[in-house]
Amino acid sequence: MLAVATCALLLTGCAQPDPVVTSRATSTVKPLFASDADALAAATKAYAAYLKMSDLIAQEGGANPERLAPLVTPKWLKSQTTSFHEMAKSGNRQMGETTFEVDRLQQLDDQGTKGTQVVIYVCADLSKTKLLDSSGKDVTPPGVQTVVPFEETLQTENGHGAALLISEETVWTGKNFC
Amino acid sequence: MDRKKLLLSTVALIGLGLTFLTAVSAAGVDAPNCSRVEYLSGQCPEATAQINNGGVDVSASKGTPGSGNGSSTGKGTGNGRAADAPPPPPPRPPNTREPRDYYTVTLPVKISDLVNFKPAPGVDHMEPNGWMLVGLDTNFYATVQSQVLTGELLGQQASVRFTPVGYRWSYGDGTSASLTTRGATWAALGIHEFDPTPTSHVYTQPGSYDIDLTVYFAAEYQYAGGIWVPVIGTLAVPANRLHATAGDAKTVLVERDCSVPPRGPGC
Repeated sequence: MLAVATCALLLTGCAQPDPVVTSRATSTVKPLFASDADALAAATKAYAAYLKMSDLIAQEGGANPERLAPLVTPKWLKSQTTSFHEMAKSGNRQMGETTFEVDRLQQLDDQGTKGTQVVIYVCADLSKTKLLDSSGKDVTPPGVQTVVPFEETLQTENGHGAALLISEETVWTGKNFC
Repeated sequence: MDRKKLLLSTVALIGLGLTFLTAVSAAGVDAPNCSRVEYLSGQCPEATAQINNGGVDVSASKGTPGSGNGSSTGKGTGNGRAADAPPPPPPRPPNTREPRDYYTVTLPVKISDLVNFKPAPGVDHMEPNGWMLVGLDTNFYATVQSQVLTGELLGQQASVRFTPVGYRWSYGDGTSASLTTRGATWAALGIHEFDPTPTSHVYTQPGSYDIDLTVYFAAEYQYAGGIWVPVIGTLAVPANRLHATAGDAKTVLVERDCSVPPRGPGC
């Protein structure tokens, strides 16, 4: 019986993508999102705003990264500020804009007023971006892919109401879904 | 991150006794954090590890490409301890004038850091403690645990997990044994004193002996919240030395069974 169950699980795991993990609020707390689709739409909108500002800061050589503050958690702002300061120190800047497509919702942990976390998979298209040094020379690191899979974590934060803020972003090094 | 997802999977699978599936699921999922800006600007950290200097060296590096400023200083910029720089320009022919703008440097700057992690050594024990009877089994065993040591590399957390996987006993009588079990006390094994165990040894000559144990650790490292990556090879760490004396024992017939209380005279 166990062997049958094992095979069933294995086959299921191979044949289908990972299901979205959804954790809903208890009956006493109203969930922030009515559905997974709503959560995905809100996360997409928040990520688009973040990416636009991140692009702008990078195009300006990492100047004034605090402009991200309304869009990200304080912890992520600190992390990105460090990265942009590194960029500013190097004298490099980004040319071009990043476009993206949301692959899918990975996780929704919706506890309503207690806080909500949404994780999405994003394909960022870097094909129209370059890294230039102060003389305008292309110094884009070798091996940079044109479309890069990212895992984006967004969450609500006290004092920001129901707004989703970027709390973490990392290159996905598992199987490329883009 | 999808740690919650993995956790949920783990809980479900443990119930079915299928924890191996979780390990498969986790492989390749996590990686050192690397945002879009860091990715594009070559700031994503990379880490490697190797066994060295009695421990595991974990080294991390990240680079910032093309940092030239258009000046003609002839030097690269950067404050790292290691630099991956292109080869210098060829030497100028003799008797030529110093060019004012010989070249403009746009060196890629790579900073790196290294931390060495050493596991706590194991402890060697023996039963009976400090002596043995010629011709009877002496029980040796080790106490040692898996360990996770943590440090910081380039502002990110680096950890090494050491797992004991092998034990080499040198018994001091010219013989040795390489085993995969650490052994245990007779009591823990539920057997009588002087019974053979997977880690016991029989001395054939009276005398004084030094017994040495070396514990072999497998190691894995983790950097910046990434996955655990195995380190190639095993790390040999000497434990304490035991000094013990082997003596003869005479066997006599006694009235009662010495292994069953109440023991009789002569046991």
